[in-house]
Amino acid sequence: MHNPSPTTLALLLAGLTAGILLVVLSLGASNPILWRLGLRNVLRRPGQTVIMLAGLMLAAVFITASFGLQDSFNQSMVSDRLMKMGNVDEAVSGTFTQSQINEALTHLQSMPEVQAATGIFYMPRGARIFSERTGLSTNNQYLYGIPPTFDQVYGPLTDTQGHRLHFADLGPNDAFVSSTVARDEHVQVGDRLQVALFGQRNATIAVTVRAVLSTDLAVTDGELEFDGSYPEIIMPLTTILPPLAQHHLAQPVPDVLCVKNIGQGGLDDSGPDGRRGLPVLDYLGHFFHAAPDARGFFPTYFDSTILHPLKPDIAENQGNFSPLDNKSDFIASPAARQFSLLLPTFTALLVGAGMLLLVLLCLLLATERRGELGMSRAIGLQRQHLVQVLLIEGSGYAVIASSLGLLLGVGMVALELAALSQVPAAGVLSSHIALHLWVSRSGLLSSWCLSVLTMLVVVFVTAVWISRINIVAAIRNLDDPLPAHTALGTLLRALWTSPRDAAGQPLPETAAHRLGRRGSALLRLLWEGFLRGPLCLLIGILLFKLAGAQLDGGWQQLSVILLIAGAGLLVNWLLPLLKILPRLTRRLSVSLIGVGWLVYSIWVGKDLLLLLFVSDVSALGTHQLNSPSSFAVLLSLLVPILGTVMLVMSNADLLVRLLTLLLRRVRALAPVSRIGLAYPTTFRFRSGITVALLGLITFLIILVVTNNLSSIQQSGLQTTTGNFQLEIDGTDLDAVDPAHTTNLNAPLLATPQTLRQEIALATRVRFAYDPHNAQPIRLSLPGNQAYPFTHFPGALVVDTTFLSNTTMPLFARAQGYDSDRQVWNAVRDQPGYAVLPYVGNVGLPTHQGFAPFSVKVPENGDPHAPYRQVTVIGLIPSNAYWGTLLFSEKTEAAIGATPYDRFAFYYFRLQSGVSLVQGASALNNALQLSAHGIALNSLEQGTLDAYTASLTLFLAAYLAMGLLFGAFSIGVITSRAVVERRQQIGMLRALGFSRALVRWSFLLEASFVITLSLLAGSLLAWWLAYQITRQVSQQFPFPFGPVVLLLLGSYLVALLCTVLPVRRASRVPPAEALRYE
Amino acid sequence: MTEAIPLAMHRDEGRFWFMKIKMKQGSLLTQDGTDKGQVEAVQVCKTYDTGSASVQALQGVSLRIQRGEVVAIMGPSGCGKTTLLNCLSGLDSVSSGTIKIAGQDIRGLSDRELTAFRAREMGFVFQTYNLLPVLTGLENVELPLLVSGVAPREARARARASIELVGLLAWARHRPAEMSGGQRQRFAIARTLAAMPSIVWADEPTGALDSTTSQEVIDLMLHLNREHGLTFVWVTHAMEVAQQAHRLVTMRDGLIEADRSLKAEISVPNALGTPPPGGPKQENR
Repeated sequence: MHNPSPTTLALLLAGLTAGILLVVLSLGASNPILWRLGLRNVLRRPGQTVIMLAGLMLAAVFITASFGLQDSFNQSMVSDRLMKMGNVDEAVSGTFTQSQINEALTHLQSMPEVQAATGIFYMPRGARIFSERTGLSTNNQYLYGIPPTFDQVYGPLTDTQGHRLHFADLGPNDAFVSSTVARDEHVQVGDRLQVALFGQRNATIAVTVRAVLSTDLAVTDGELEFDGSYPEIIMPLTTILPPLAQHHLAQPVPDVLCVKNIGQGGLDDSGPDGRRGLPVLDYLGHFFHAAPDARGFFPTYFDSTILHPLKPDIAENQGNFSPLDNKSDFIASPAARQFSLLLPTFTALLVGAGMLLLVLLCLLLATERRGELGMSRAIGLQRQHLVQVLLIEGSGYAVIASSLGLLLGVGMVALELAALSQVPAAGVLSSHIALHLWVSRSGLLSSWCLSVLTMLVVVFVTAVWISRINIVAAIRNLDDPLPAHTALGTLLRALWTSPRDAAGQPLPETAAHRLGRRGSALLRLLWEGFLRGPLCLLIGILLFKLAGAQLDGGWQQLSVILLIAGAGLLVNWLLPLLKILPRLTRRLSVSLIGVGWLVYSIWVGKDLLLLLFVSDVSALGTHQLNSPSSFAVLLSLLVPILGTVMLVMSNADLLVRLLTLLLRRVRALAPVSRIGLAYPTTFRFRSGITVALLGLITFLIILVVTNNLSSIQQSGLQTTTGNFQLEIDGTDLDAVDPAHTTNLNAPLLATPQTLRQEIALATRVRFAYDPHNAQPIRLSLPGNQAYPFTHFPGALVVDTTFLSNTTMPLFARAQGYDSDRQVWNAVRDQPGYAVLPYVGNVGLPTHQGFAPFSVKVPENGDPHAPYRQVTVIGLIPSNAYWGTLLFSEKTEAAIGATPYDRFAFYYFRLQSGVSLVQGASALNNALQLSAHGIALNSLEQGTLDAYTASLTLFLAAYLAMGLLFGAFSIGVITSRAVVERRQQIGMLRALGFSRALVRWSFLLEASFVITLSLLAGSLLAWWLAYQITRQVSQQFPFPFGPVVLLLLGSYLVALLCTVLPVRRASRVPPAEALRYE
Repeated sequence: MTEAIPLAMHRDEGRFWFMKIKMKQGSLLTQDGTDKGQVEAVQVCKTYDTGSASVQALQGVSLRIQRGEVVAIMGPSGCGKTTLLNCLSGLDSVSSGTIKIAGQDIRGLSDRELTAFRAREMGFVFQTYNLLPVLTGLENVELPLLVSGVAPREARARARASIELVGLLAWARHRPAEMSGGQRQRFAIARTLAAMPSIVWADEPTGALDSTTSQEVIDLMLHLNREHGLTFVWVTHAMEVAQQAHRLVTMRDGLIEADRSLKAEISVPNALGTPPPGGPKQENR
């Protein structure tokens, strides 16, 4: 089944919304007095209308923003792809012969559909550049060899200043560089670059940078679909081909043919007969025996011939694009994963929070108009009339709020895009797409309709509820009578027994009346069966069976949640039969459900949410990388807070008793403590909704902030590298000096002596054998057969300096070791011992004092080398810089391995107070590293941390807007309390309460609810974050400062919303309030 | 059956409308000859469940009210008089017993049917006037007519007529907030009259009014009873109000303690609207 297109969806929603609004309109037209009543109520209390509209608008803003953000992402992506591909319409890549190229170009140029065609040479990740100005060298640069005729195919080209450029203007030793090279490698116009083809020193071309392009180039679909940024050196084809011929290719020829079709170009140009590109693609496919690329976003390989139908296929192939998806930062930063996978869930939860606020507001309105509603029913208005009036009023709010929310939503998208544009890039493969605001008409229409529909559904449900008002209680301003629980037997009998008069004679009834009575009796029977537990249990069991068959995590979760609820309800039904007090039974039952939901959802959630929250996904092992369904995630986030609220609210009276005892001793608070704290526990439902709403938002914010900030703290160098800050990559050394004629080993390791001021320690880590063709390490856990474990690239040998000085904390130690240092010393001193990184879900121990286990290591890099055994006595954290087995040179000797001198890495610890730049500069100057083409890498994860912190801030700010819902809801229940307790306030004032005391009483009440919400939300978030972190790390640094600031801010905002109603309460004139008492 | 007569033919809409009431009342006898104005309660019990305890508000009350009667129910607070009124009028359900209004057992009616029945046959006047503040006086009076399906022109005419009857036509376009307590209560009575009920239930109708305004309201109700045969049931604490009724029912602890007649004759106009023997009492309003 295909998903409907955005336009179809928008039209469907528009039809539905228009239909419903028409129904409301016709109801109004058929009964204009109800129309007047509904609309005039909108204007009745401007203050409340404003609050109502503000709350609804906020919900509409979230809905619009979610559509607008996706639209903007997609459109930004299309623009970016169009910029990268220029006017190239189709391309074909592969390894061709010169005659194939010539023949194809001759034919293409003769086709009436083709405007221009040419061949270029493209070599992804094929060059290494060295800047003579900066002294920096970089691998994996993308290389383009461009003929002068490419201008006719590619079209207009500009530099970063907006100046027009031509490929034809490139001289033999000139180059353009793409914007990514300029940004990431700090290359400027005029720089001299040494471009080493395939990284080979003897295939080097010296070029001068003539311009920095305003974009990167991409004419092949893998690169375009990946939406990445590419460091590119663009040179004349004639400059590149000779050195290639000399060193690598016998007869180098262009490997990509690019075609520009007749027409203006761009996405809207579909060719003279709407068949743009089809004849060309037919010809290319036929001539080269090639098919369109179906590999997704993989880079171009030249071992097969691939068609690249760029426009409109690749340009418009957007799906739901996210600038953060499928990039390296997605793997490295939990914030990126949360942004990509959780933002829609957050939006749904926030819209849900908005709707809960709407329910509270409707109930507040109903409370204020209770007498009127009761009287209306008494004088003959049917329930449906009340529903109609409320629906007309609600439609007014919905239409106004959705229209205003639409405008604000577009503004919010602009803000979000501006904020996201400020998020620093996390790595080379990060997307640098320029984000711009674009909201489609279908998106706007869908947002508006969804906002209106959501609000109308909520208003309708609430209105039906309100219409069931008890007439007498409403007119006389009495408490609503408790719902009567009828015995199941009576309900069963009601299915076939007709009502009787006082004499026991059946009352006459029509067939329609009988049907209606039996239908309502059946519904009541089912409802009572559910409320007592058995039906709830039955539904849970059925769902469990169904979900088990379909292996759907979300539905399985729901079934267990229903089973727990059913058990709780059953307790509530059955315990009174054992003469247990109903109040105690209710407490037990609700607490049981609360605890059950809480424990179950945390137990499930810590695994389910692991992918979204763990700091480094490599800790999960490869089989845990499937993202959970949105429904399962939604339940994992929603159910723990519901469980907590049930547990807290069912036992809040105990807390109140304790607080009352304490506050009684404070003289100023003694008179208000009992009143202020008694009401939230009396009206548990509305207090519960408010605690759930505010608690949910707090929970989400604190969960994201706690998890991500602790993940940043965990990524400190003390943990990841054992406190080494600079690295020289062994592959650089091998590339510079393949024969190892220049021995840099000794001078590098001697730097702590030669550069005493800057370098504190230098250490070497190298592979125990050539990992390329070696057999995998074999894991031999207690009770299991040894099995090959391909997760690790190969064993590393670390020197004594490293083992003596590393500060890396261990994830877990083997039995017999009391400290991490003891483990490191044992690895250093005792042959045959090793440490291994922790990887989740493969059976590695997670507790301290585990039984040592063995790992089998190949003796050398030969595919048939014999295995040797080492004993693992410690597990290093999963986010450690070296994700493989580590052992000492003594162990290497003990297992009989031949020392392997390639792929050595050098690590430097700087003296305290020495900056990275100072350290790198000292090393460069002393050892002439730049001259050798050796780069120093910084091991600081500052960029990634800044990226995570920025995105976390974005997510927290997004969620914090939801705090307004929570704060508003506190304001609303306080307003409702003031309305309901008008006479009681009058009585208190008559009894001698000053205005200040009345204010204090209400503030204390609001504070109690706010504190409960914040405590419930934040403690739960902390617990869940702790459970998630503990699965991959023994450390859980709690970001105390930011969390306390957040809680204080939330408390103040929420309390601020109660100020107006509290002021209103204190100004209630006692005589007027008491007049009708 | 009610005959449709073009309203424009009559300058005095109020008088015409009450002619129609009388014509309607001409058919108030049901097929079995039962008087539709008659209310009959047999062994009515009402128990409130307050969660921890049950309160028996009515403990087997039996009462019969004839058409055209003005019955006052009195008694100390908590004796069950308002509960009785609510049960008799179908606003509240009974725990046991039977209530018949105009021969119709209201226990057998669904909520929808009961509401429609209430709208058709009953009127209510309460201590707090419960006018809708967003509607004008005229619109408040029109409301029950319109929702029960009366054509807008007819509803407007009937509303104007009943407002004229309570003497407040000049205030018809004002909203309740702009009126005095007495004016609001008279609009509430006008709203009741507009629906042409056969019985009007009044719970402390003068409870929020000063003595002069109270008497005006009582006079108005008595006038409507004499002139048009409306049945009134008042629940009141005020003896001076109760003494003006035809019959006084006194309650205590959920039971009827006494039921005595205060007037020798009950004004029940006949089908043609002829005043009862003795003629209508002249009023100085």
